[in-house]
Amino acid sequence: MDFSLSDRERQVQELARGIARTRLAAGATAADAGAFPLSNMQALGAAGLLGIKSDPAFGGLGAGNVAYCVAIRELASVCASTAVTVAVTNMVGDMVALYGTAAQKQRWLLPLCRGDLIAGSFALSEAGAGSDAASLRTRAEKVDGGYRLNGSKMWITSGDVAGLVLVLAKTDASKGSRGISAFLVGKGTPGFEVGRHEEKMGLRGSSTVSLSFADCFVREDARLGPEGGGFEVAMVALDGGRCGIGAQAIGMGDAALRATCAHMERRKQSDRALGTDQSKAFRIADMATRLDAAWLMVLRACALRDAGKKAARECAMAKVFGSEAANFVCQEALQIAGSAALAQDHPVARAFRDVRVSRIYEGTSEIQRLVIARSLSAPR
Amino acid sequence: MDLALSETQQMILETARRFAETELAPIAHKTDKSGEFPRKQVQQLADLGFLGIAVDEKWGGAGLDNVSYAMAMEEISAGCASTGVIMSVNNSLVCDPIGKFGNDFQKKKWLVPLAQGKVLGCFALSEPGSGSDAAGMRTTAILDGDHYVINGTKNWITSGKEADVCILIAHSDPSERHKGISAFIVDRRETPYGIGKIEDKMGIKGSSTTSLVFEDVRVPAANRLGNEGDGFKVAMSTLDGGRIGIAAQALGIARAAFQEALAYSRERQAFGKYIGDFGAIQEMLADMATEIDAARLLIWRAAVAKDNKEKFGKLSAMAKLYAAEMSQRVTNKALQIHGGYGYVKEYNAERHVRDARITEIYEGTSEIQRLVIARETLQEIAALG
Repeated sequence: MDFSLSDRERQVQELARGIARTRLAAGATAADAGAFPLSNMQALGAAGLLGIKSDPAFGGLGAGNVAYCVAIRELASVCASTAVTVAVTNMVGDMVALYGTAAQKQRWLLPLCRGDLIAGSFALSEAGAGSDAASLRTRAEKVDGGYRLNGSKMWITSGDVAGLVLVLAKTDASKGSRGISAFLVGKGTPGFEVGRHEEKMGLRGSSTVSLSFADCFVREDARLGPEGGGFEVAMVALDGGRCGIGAQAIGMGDAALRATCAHMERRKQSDRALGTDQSKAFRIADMATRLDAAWLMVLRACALRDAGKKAARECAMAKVFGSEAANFVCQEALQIAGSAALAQDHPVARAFRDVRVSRIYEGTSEIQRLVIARSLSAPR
Repeated sequence: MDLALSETQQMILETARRFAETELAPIAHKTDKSGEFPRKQVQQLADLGFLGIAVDEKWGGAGLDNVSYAMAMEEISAGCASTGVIMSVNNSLVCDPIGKFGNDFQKKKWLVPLAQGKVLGCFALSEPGSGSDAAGMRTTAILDGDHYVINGTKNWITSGKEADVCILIAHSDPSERHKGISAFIVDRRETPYGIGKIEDKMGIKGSSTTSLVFEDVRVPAANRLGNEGDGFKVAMSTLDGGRIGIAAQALGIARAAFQEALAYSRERQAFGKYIGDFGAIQEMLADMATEIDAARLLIWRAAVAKDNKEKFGKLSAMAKLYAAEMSQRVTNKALQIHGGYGYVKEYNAERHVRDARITEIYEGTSEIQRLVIARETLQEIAALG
């Protein structure tokens, strides 16, 4: 049994940490004010961090799931808005690598990994379909030479800036989840419009938009995987994404814990005089313990995936435990920091706002618990 | 990153699980009711090599790693938590310090029979007026020629009634605090001491908890463990390891409670369906399963660090803090899922709640674990700059 990172994983960690400290840190406040971290994405692409698991031949790093989560945690601890943009881009790239033809990989994966496409975007959710993916209503009608997409998507991360959007749509309305297919749609495709830009509580540097498709024609070769295979693509993407959200949330928790420790160092004398030092110390202990436990859950799920084993339950556990631990940590940090942290630009306030969505997106906590509970009937 | 079990670890796990299911689970209920020491089962543990799991084979132990120890502790405690604590104390609090601080004479004389389970050990640190604040103890061991004369009372001593060998922590220099403390091996067969009050406890009722009374007990100087003044270090490093055992005990109790609740949720029907098909019960079960896994990972991480001879004090504190508190939540949820049946002694659910409670208290309360974790976390983060 070995809990240590491999040399390669450590290298990826150093790479991510270096860019986070030099580049992401400088723009984190601006990102929180709503500026999309464009230059970060270019730098991350140049370093290979937009395709952490992708083949180096396509501009990726060719690393595993553990390395991926290690990198996301580092980025999220400095600029969560950038981290989520990176995570979704990686997820889209992973799906192209897994389900794409050689031509699709050549056309999309290389520029995606290099940062030429700025970001990748994953369009599954709709106004009436979130956790229940099978009930989506966007249609892809088979026409001569390709498909015509009609419908709209909601809560789409990077949907406006991404050069590539992976769209899930129904090719056969009568077949439920088996009637869903996946499509690779480039920015600027006629009929594909970006709609409303959401004003969010946190992750304000990452854009969240609605997308609409009005007789948007895509060629046959835009379909990713077989017709009817879209649900699998979505589920595999989300399964992998779940560990990443856990890691991301933990990174935000790291930021909150660091800020809290610094606060305690500054306030040592007065806390002792007031008698609040132990109450704060106990909270630090709980925060650190929960973050460590959460990280071990993420690492376990990643290690299983890296070993080619099934890990749906473990990924769900990593996501729900990681996101809830990080929310707890940010909440405690806010309490310790007191009224100072009510200022929008305080690092703890930012972490608190940023981390909240981790319990919601890519499968709510409630959905994760359902996945876990259902898996309990299956023998281990 | 590799969390797969080795062949040996897998074998220990299976052996422990089989033994717990066939020999311990059937007696756990009766043991709780009667409060009787599970003598036969402890002998069987000895035969399996589980009373000195991590002790070198050269000294009568099984020579296995601490991950194996933690796994065996989880399984044994899932079967019977009372048996679990007897095993944990003998391994972590008695064999471990003799193995680490003892000389060859001491190892040959005491570690071998302890690890083989021919005699049972206990660990005496707490007193009526000092627990977490160990340096506040009042028991003295005053050198007189080539003997130490011991006077004082120790409290809350697990296996105090059955143990023949006692690791005793006492002030050899009462004018000093931490620095005046030394550790001793006291053999009750050679230098008898008194067994005081036997406590009537809420849980883990099959393990005895007693006070020990020392009145001018003359112990040979050769029984001193480590140097004079090393006693505080011996005690603290012993408890660091002990926390892994208790964390694993808490985990085992929680897992047993969870498995029973899961099974019950599939038998019991309400409103025309199994209660396990209701969302509220599913959420409880999902949280229980998740927290159990998180605790196990924290425990294994601490055990691996100990095996690798790395610093593991903070890691075992985290494991114990989390596992003990998790065990309260999980055993209470398990009781809740059983409804009224959870509250009566016909089922195990209420016993698990009672057995789990002590894990937040002994071998360092949750509050002490938090102090350890906070101190190290603040230092580590300050060092990162």
